[in-house]
Amino acid sequence: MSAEKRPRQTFMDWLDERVGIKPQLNELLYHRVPRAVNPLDFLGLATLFVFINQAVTGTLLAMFYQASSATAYQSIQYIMTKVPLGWVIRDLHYWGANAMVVLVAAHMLRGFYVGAYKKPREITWVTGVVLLFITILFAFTGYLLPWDQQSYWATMVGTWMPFYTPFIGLYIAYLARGGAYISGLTLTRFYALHMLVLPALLLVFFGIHFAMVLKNQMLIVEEAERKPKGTKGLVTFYPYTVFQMTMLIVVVAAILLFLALSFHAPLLAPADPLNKAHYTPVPLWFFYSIYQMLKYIPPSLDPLGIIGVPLVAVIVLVGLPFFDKNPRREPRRRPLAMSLAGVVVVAVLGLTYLGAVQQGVSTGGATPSTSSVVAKPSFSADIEPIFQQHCATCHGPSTKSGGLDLTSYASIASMKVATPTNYKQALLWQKLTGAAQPRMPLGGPYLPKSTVQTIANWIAEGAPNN
Amino acid sequence: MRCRICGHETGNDTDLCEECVERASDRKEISRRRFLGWGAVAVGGLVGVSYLGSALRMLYPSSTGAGKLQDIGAVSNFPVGNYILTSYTGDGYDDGVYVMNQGGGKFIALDFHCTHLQCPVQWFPAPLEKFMCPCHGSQYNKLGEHIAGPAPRGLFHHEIAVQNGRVMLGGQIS
Repeated sequence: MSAEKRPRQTFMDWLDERVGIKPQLNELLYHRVPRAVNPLDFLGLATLFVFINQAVTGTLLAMFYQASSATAYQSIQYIMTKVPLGWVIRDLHYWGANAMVVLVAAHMLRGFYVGAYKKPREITWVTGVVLLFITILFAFTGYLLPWDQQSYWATMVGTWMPFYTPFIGLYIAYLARGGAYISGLTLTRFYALHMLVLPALLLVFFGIHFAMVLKNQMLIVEEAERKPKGTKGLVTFYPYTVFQMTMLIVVVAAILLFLALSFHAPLLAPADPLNKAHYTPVPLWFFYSIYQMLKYIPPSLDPLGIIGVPLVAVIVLVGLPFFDKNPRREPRRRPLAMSLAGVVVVAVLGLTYLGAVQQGVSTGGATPSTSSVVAKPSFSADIEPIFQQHCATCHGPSTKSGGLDLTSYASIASMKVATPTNYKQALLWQKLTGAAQPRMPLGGPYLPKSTVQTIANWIAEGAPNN
Repeated sequence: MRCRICGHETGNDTDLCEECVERASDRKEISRRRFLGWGAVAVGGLVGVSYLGSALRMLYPSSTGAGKLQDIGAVSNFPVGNYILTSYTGDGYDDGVYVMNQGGGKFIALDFHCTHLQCPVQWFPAPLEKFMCPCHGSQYNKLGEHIAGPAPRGLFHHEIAVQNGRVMLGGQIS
């Protein structure tokens, strides 16, 4: 027996002999990065973590969810009430979905701001944009699955938007729905997309996206590597950055858990294709900007707003690295790109905010923001918001049902709906209470008594424009 | 080895010299190499297109046009001159339909989704006698024709017929 002495082989050596990635792994773990980093440079990681949250909670939900129009709603109720921790898992999935949209958008804005889409990172940017679309499709298909009134009608509206595409619009809408309207076939179709097609697509594009990040490095790392060795403020990726990343994940997880425990995912009445309760459809929040824009453009331009604007957005987003040939990365040196993007961001945020206000998001949609009676109401502070929220879709500047625009004081005055000061004789009060038929808002839900009383007080004061 | 075309020495153990190969490719002759390359792409493409075509055929709903007629009740259940909300259900359909007896054995069936963005419209009987949409205020007259608001066209019609005193409702036709 030879007692030849061999160096002790560790498991890592054994593995490396077969896999052979030790040099790459070492380079990854010990490359030099700035010690102080901006949390905004970790938005991609935060998104990845939330996606993992979606995958885990989604898989758990799928084990109880029954994808058919007859059982979907009941299975969600079962998850919420009977399954141990079911409600938390559902809320985590719900808030994770919203967080995904927000984080992907923020990650993209950050990439734009620091100029990370420029050479050689064009492919990282383009795959990132594709991942944004996949995220939106995830949210859209997942939204239908609870099969309640909100999800049913939002999907009815959302799947109709392609109708405005020239020539093939109706075919796309039917293809998306699996029929002429939303039915059980739409549900199984969306479920298959949500559970099989989109995850597969996401993994493919995320793989490319991440491989490109590894290959071309993050911008901050590239800048750090250019500095001479021993420069102050530089540390190795492991363990310093890894620790920071772990901390970030803890923070994101804590926020998700806080949201899930504090604000529950809604579940309205089960989907009713005949809409006997006269539910008014509400779009998903990230469609508010399109929804709100449609209110400001004349109806003849609807196809442009519904198809044209999103199409231009897609082209601009995908093509950004190829349109923008300015090699500079500092925001200050890119006045044109920065100001154009600023306008777009402000417009989208502003329209989303306006859409949210008009949907009465803070008040749950049905009840007005003023829950108590205002004794001496001001038109601009008390009355106009009520009209905006409850009347403006029909009595707005573009629709003017019956010639009346309730968003304009001049129109209210000239139509004499808020006179005389004995408010019981004023047409406005009569319509709101049903003393004059048909009662408004047409088809309901009608305004609460306190809101009607606030309007009555305003009429009694002489309906001032204050 | 000698080139089998020009007879010169090829300098290796293939029977085609580089010059002849080059000349052949200049003349756009299909070499075996090119044939195999394009062949692989073509066969692969064919397989892919077959899958895609089959998928689209399978996913495209066959039931969007005139569908099977469904019995929605006796003619006497439908008063003349006012709309009743009924439903049409079937493959890819679960759909509210306003049906009105126009008198004289004539019926009209209007789909209850606004043509603007498919919100459910409501029928308001006399004195208004029109359909209104709660989302963006589109309005339609008693025959479902567009009269106000952003909708691009009138309400969709469903097939409707009277057979043996029964009202028969079909799929969406226009």
